[in-house]
Amino acid sequence: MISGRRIRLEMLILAMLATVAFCVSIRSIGLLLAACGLSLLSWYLTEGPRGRTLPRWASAVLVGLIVLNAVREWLATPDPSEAMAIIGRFATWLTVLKLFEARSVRDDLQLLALSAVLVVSGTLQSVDLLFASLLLAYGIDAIRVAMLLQLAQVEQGAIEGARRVAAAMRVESPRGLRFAPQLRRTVAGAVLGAFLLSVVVFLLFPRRLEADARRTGGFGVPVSGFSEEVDLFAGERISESRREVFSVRWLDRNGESVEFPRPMLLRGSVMEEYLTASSTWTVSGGRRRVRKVMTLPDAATTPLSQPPVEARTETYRQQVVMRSMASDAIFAAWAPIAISTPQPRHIAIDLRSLTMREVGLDRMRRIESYEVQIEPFPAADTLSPLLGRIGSFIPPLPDFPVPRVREIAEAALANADLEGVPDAAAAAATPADRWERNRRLSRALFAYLREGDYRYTTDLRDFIRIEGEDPIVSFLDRHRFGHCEYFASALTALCRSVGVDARLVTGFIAMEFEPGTRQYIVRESNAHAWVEVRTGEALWTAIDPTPAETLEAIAASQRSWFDSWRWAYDRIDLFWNSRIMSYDGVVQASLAERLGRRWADRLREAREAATRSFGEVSSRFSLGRAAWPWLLASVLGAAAAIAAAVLLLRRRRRVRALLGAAGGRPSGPLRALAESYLEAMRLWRRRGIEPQAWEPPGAFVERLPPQWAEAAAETRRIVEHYYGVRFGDRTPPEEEIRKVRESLGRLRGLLA
Amino acid sequence: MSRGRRSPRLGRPPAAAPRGDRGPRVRRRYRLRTSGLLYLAVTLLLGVAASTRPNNMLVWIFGMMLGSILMSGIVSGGMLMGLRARRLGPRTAAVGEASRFRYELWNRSRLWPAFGLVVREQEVGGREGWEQATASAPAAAVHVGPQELVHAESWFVPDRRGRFELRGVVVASTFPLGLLEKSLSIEDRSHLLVHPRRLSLRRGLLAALRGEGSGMVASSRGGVGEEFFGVREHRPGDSLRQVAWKRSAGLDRLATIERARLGPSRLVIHLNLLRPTDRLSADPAGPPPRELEETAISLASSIADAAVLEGFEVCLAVLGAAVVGEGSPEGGGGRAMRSEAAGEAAGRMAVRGGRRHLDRLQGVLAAIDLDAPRTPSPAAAAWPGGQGRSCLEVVIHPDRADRSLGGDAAWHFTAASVGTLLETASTRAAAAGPEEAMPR
Repeated sequence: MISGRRIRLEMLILAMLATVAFCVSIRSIGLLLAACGLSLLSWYLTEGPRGRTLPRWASAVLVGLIVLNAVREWLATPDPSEAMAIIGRFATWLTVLKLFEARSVRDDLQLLALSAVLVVSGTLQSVDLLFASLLLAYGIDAIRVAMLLQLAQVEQGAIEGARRVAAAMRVESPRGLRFAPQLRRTVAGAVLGAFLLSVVVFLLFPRRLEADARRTGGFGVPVSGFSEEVDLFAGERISESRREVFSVRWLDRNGESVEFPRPMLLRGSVMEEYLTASSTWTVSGGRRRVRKVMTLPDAATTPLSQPPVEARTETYRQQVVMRSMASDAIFAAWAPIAISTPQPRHIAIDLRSLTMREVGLDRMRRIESYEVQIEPFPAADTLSPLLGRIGSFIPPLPDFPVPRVREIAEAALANADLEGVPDAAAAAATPADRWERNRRLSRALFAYLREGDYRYTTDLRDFIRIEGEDPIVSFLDRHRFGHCEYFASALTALCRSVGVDARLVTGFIAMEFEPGTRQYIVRESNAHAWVEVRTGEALWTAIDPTPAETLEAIAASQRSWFDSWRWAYDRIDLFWNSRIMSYDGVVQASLAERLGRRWADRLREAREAATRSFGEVSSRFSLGRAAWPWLLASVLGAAAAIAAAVLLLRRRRRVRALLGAAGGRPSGPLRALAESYLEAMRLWRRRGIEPQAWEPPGAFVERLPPQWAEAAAETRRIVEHYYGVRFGDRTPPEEEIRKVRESLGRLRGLLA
Repeated sequence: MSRGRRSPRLGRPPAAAPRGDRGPRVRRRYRLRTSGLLYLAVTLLLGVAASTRPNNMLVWIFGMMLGSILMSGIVSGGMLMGLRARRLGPRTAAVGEASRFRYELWNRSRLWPAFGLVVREQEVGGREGWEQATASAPAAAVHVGPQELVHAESWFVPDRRGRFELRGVVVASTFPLGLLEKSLSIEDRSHLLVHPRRLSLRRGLLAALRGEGSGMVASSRGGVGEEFFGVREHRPGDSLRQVAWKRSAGLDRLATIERARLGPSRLVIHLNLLRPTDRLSADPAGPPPRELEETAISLASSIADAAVLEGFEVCLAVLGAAVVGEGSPEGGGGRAMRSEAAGEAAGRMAVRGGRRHLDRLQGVLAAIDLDAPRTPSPAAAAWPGGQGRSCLEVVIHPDRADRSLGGDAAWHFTAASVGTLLETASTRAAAAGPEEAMPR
C-alpha cells in the first residue's frame, strides 16, 4: 500500500516547488520565506509526534480571510495585468493552509490543482531561466505525484468501498512483482514523452513574425532592463538585477584593452517623440531612413558607411560578448563606423539616430558577439558618408507638448547665466547660432537638474500619479525624485520646450571595469537613459543628467561575492534567452526553411542514388528496356516472399501454442493435423460460430446447428483425427492426413 | 499481500480460453472525467493565451500540457491493451453474509505494466441482474506487471435471495493522470446463486423436536441393530445367538436372524408456499407478506443447515412455488433437484445427508420464484413421510399453520413465530447451564 505519509511528503515537496516558482516569478523574497517557512512548519505539526491538524472551523475562517485579502488587493490595484499575480498570491496562501489540514486523496488532488494555478500564474509573470528551471522540476514532479495519487485513490476507493459494503472487512490491493521499478520507468517514460512532445509543440506552435518578445524577451518583467520605449508609469521599481547582460572590451589602435575615466554610454535606442496620453517616449513615428548592410563572414570588418570611412588614429574597437541577453539591438557608443560579426548578419542602421539592429529572416538565433569600430569624436567628413545626404538633414524637433514644462524651463533659465546665447530668431537663421544656443541652454538646464534638490532612486512606490498631471511635471514640480528615465525625460522635455533639439536615448552604461580581464561587465541594472542634444548638423552630444556618482555608489553597494560566480549561470541564461525565449516566427520560418531544404536535398540525393544504382544494375545484367518490369517483378516477388514467410511463421507459432510445444518441434503429421484443426475452427469463426471459452472441441461440434449437419460431420472427423494423434500417441499414416485434408476442403466448400 | 506471479511461458493462464479460441469478447470504453474536462479547458485557455501573447514560456507550458494528455492516452491505452480479466468465483453466497468476488487479472503484454486498476462487475440491469441482490465494492489492483497474473477481490453482502446473472468483468483505470477513464468490458457470463439468509437457531432445537432417543432409526439395509431385518443362511462367524432355530428346523441348514442397520435420523421439511403472497393473512402491524415468505424460506434453509450439521438426512418439499433455473450452478444434480423441489412431485425427492446435498437444497430454496403463479400441490397432502421410515417432519408456513399438510406428528412453524426458534443471549445462557451463565 502506498503510505499516506509518503503521499503527504510528496505533496509538500510539490507545493513548495510551486510556491518557490511563483515567488521567483514575482521576485518576492518575503512571500517566499513566509510561505516556505509555514509549509515546513506544517510538516512538523501534522507529521510530528503529536500529529495535529487544523480544525475545520479554523480552516474555514482562514479561507475567508485569504479571500478578503485577495479582494482587498484587487480593489487597491484594479489592474488586469496584476490579476494573475493576485490570483497567484491567493493560491499560495490557500496552498499553505491546505498543508495544515487533515487531507484525503481528494484533498491532495485539490492541492495539486492549486499548485498548478500557482505555476500558471507564475508563467504569466516571468520568463526567467530560474523560473523555467523550477517549472521544469515542478512539471516532472507533478506528473509523478499525479500518478501516485491515482494509485492511492484506487487503493482508498477499494478500502472505502469495502467498508461501505461490508463493514470492517480488510482489503488488500495486490500488486505485481516489480512494482517500484516499473512505476519509476513508467514515470520516466511519461515525463520524457511529454517533454519531447512539448518540444515539438514549442517548435511548431504558430507565432507572429514580428513578435513583441524580441524587444524585451517577453512581457511582465523585462529580461534585460533595456527597453526601446520609455513608459514613465511602467512600474514601481526598475531592475536592480546583478545579472551580467554582456561584457565590453575597448581596444585602441594597437589592440590594447583600455579603461576610460568616465562611464561609457552604449546606445541602443533613440526616442524623439513623447506621447502625453500614455506618458511614453517612443521612436519617431515618421518615416525612418535605414541602410542595410550584410556583415562579411569570418568576422571581417564591414563598413557601415557608403563609401567606407577611412580609419583614423582616434578610433576604437568595441568588442561585445553577450552573456545573458537576447536582443536585436546592437549596443554601441557614438559613433559606429564599421562592424564585424562571426557569421554574416543583416544589420540595419537608422540614419537619423545611428542606432543599429539586426534584421533579416534567415537566422536561427540572436547575435551573440560583435565588434564595432567607434570614432568617439567624429569629424564632419566621417559623419557625412555615414549618414548620407538624407540622414544628416534633420528638421528641428517639435516643441515639447506639455506647457507647464516650458514654464519650469523658463524659470530655470531665468536664473542661469545666459550671456551671449543667441536668441531664437538668430538660431533659426544661422545654424552655427542654433548649435551654440542648443549647447548653452542644454548646459544651463543640465545644471538646473544637477544643482537642484532632485534625488536619484529606483524605488518609485511613493511616486504618486496625479490625475491630469504629466509625470515629468510631477517629477520636476512635486516629487523631485526618480530614476534615470525621469532625469533624462525631464532634461529632454526642458530642452525641447525652449526649442533645443534634444532626444532621449536608452541603452547601457558601462562603468564596472574588471582589471583582471580588462573588460567592462554590463549588468541588467546598468540599463540607462540619457539625453542627446544636437550640437551640429549631424552631431549630437550626449548629456547624462543622472548623478553618475549616485549610480556608482548604488552599483558598488550592490556588489557581492556571488557576482564572480554568475558566469556559468549567465551562459545558460544566454542560451535560454537567445535560443528559447526569443524563438519567434522569424526563427521558426528559418528553421522550417532549412529543414525543408535539407529534406528536399536528401530526397533528391536518394532519388539520384536510386537512379544510379538502377542504371548500374541495368547495365550489369544488360536488361535494356525491360529493366523496369524486371525490377518491379523482383520487388513484388520479394514482398510476396516476405509476406509468405511472415504468414508461415505466424501459423507455426499458433500450431506450437496449440500443441504446447514451447521449446520442441512437433512432428510433421501432428503439425499437419493441428493446422487442419485450427483452420476448421477459423472457418467456423468466420461464419460467426465459435467455441466458448470453456468448451472442448468435441462439445462444440455436438452443439452445432442442425442446418450445418454436414459441415459438423466433417469437423467431427477432423477433430477426432486430431485428438487421436494428439492424445493417442500414434503416428498417422499418410492416408489419414490426406483424408483429413480432404475433409477440410469439403468443410471449406460447405462453409464458404 | 497478494503478489503477482509469472504466467506460463506460452502466455496463457492455466484456466484460460481453450486452444484455438479467440477468448472472450472485449469492449473498450472511454469516459472523460470532470478533472479531464477541466484540464482540457485550462489547456485550451493556455493555448489561446499563448497564441495571443508573445510569451514562449506559455507556449512551452501549453506544449507540456498537450504532451501530458497524449502521454496519458498512450500509457493508459498501452497498459489496457494486453489486459484480460476473469471471475474466479464465487458461484454461491448467502443473504447477509459477506462474500468476495475474486478476479484474475492477466497482463499479456510483454512491455507495458498496468497500474491503478479497478475491477467491478458489469451492470446487467433488469430483474435478473446481480445489482438486484447486492452492492459490490470495487476490487483494486495497484499494479500488474508484464506477463503477470494478479488476483484481486471485491466484497459484497447480498440482501436478496435468488439466482442472478453476471454478465462480465469491467476493468477500468484512470492512470496515469486521472483525465480519462478507460475501461475494458470483458464478457464472462455466469450466475450467482444467493442462498437464503441463515438464521441462528437455538442449540438443541432439532433434538427437542425429535424427542427421546438417539434419533437413530432402522435403515433398509442389514447390519448391527435391534430391529428385525430378515432371515438368511448361516455363515461361518455368525453368532449362535442369532440362529433362528425355528426357521432352521424347517430347513436342512442353519438360518440366521439378520438385524436392520441403524441409519441417521431423517428430517422432512415442507415449505408451504401454496398460497400466493397477496392472499397471505399477515398482521398489518407486522412485516409484509413477502417478508414473511422470505423468512419462511430462511427458516427452512436454516433448519436444513442445522440438521445436516447434526447428521440428519434431509428432504425438502417446496409446495406451490416454482423454482427457476438450475438449483445448483453445477448442473447435473441440480436438474434432478429442480424436478424434486418443484412441489408437484414431492414424494420423489431423495432424502440424503451431507454438505453437497445441503448445497443443492439451499440452491433450490435460493431459486424459488415467489412472483411466479402458485400451483396447487395435491401430492403434498400425501407426503410419504420419509419413504416409509419414521422421520422428523417439519412444515413451515409463511403466515399461519395449515395442519392438513404433513403427518400427524409433523411440527408446524410459521414465519411469525421464528423469533422463538432463534438463539438469543438468554437461550445461550440457559443452554450453557447455571455455572456458565453466572456472571464472572
